[in-house]
Amino acid sequence: MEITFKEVSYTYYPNTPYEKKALHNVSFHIPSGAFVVIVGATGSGKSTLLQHMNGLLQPSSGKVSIGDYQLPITSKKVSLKELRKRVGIAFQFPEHQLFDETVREDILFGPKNFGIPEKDMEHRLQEVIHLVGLDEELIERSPFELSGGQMRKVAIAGVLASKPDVLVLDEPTAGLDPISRVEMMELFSSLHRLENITTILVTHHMEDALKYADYMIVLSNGRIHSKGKPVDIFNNQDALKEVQLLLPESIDMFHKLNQTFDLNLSYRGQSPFDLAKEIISSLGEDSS
Amino acid sequence: MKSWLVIGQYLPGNSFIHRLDPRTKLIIIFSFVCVLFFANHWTGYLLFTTFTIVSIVLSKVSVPFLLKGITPVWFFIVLTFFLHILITKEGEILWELGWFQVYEAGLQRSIEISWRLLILVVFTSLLTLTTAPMEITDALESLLGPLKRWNLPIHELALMMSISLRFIPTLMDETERISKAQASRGVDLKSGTLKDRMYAFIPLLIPLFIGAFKRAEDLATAMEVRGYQGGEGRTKLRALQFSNLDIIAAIGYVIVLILFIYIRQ
Ligand SMILES: Nc1ncnc2c1ncn2[C@@H]1O[C@H](COP(=O)(O)OP(=O)(O)O)[C@@H](O)[C@H]1O
Ligand SMILES: [Mg+2]
Repeated sequence: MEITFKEVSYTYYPNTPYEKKALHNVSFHIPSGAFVVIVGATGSGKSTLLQHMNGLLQPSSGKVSIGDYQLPITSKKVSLKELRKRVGIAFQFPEHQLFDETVREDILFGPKNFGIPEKDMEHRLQEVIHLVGLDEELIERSPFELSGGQMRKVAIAGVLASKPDVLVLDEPTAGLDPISRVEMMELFSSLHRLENITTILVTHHMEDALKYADYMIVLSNGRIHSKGKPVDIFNNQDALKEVQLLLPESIDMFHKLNQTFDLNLSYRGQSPFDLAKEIISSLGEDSS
Repeated sequence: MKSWLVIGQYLPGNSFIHRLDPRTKLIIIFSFVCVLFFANHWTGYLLFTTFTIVSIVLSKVSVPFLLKGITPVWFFIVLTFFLHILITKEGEILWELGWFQVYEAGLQRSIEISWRLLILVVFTSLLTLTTAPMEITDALESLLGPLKRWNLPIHELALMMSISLRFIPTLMDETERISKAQASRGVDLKSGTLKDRMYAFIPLLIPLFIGAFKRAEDLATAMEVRGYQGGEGRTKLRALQFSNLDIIAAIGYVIVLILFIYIRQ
């Protein structure tokens, strides 16, 4: 599904002393099937933005369209349930939403609410626990007996079980150990490639942004600071510093080597391996 | 913001009322609420209304905000008004519609009672709007302190109160976060039969309880680690101190009381 934001502003608690303008005139377009990464300092409005994508929040001004859905909703007849079935959101620390007696029940909670036929349930359950890499023995256990990492997987499986067309992920790897983090990112990446799921990811890991994003949006104080391909975003180092973000380590190192040895190389989106080769060959030219 | 959230919310500020010692505010408000019930003549109501308006002005709280904050209580005020009109049957009949009659004394009593209620509510919300919850707790602990002599656990009660107050906003944030997460999984609290809706609360309540227990455990550990052992010999970071402002407030209040006694005679 396509997602378009047109001059969207959002204010929490308008007309009270607690009024807080969290988004200012945000506009962008996400084509169907894209992998978009949203970055920005804490409090820059990332989570507020994401909550517009399944109608949890409706813009105070401006328009959001998600597929055929238009926000703000003007008619009472429009059901948000259908939208929420098609746009799956995993919030920060999604394991806090677990509540059911068994892992099975919790994973199938979403599909049940969305009216998936009973006969498909078992199949879906098997599918998602294999996707996220959960042990089959765990499905009859209480989710509260599991480790933090396993709980996170259960919660993500619960979102995937409704088979959304759009997957919205708010810092899904925060607090995971390095291996689990890589596994989880690979899972999202393969879902995106194989099932053509439109993916919107909020992350503080610039390496992940560089590796997976087709397109990046940089938020700062509720405004879009910049948007574009990762190459272009990461080539503008000064702009990134302004919004308290750092370069991915590989690019940072490349820039430093470039400066130290006066190499005059440029970053055009090469892989770390190609970067290394370029550096070596131009160092070789120098010494000869 | 949903208006029910505003009632009892602290609005930081630097007005005369904000800077009063919380004990002064508590004493004045509690005694004022009692005295209010001795008003029996319109002059008394006029005096108390003036006192309330002066307090609002001194607190610099915006009047629309204050009135909006007490929206939930309007219902009770209106209800009280009509109940008194219905049950009081004294004096002349002013107005009649079938079995429904409005008596002169009934009308007078309803206006008096609901006006009293309104002053009471405005005054108490002025307290919570201008006094941080922790200040109120400290003031209560200090004022009730003498009861410790009879082995009443005043310090512990105050601690429980301040911890609960401290975690109300946290719990509300948590409630919002979890209900959004469950709404994303298709929970609908707004439609369906009553039974459906009751069931829809389970996915909200269980994570809330689990979170609260976990937080309580963490807090207990953190307090123990930092050497907390109870009230005995514990000093305060923000010691309460009366200032000249409190003397001014006390004088003002006593003048109102004297005027009131004078009016009543
Ligand atoms: N439920 C809420 N009520 C009031 N203010 C909020 C709420 N959620 C977020 N905010 C405020 O909106 C701003 C953006 O927050 P958020 O979208 O959570 O940012 P991020 O996810 O980038 O950290 C912050 O200043 C935050 O304090
Ligand atoms: Mg966030």
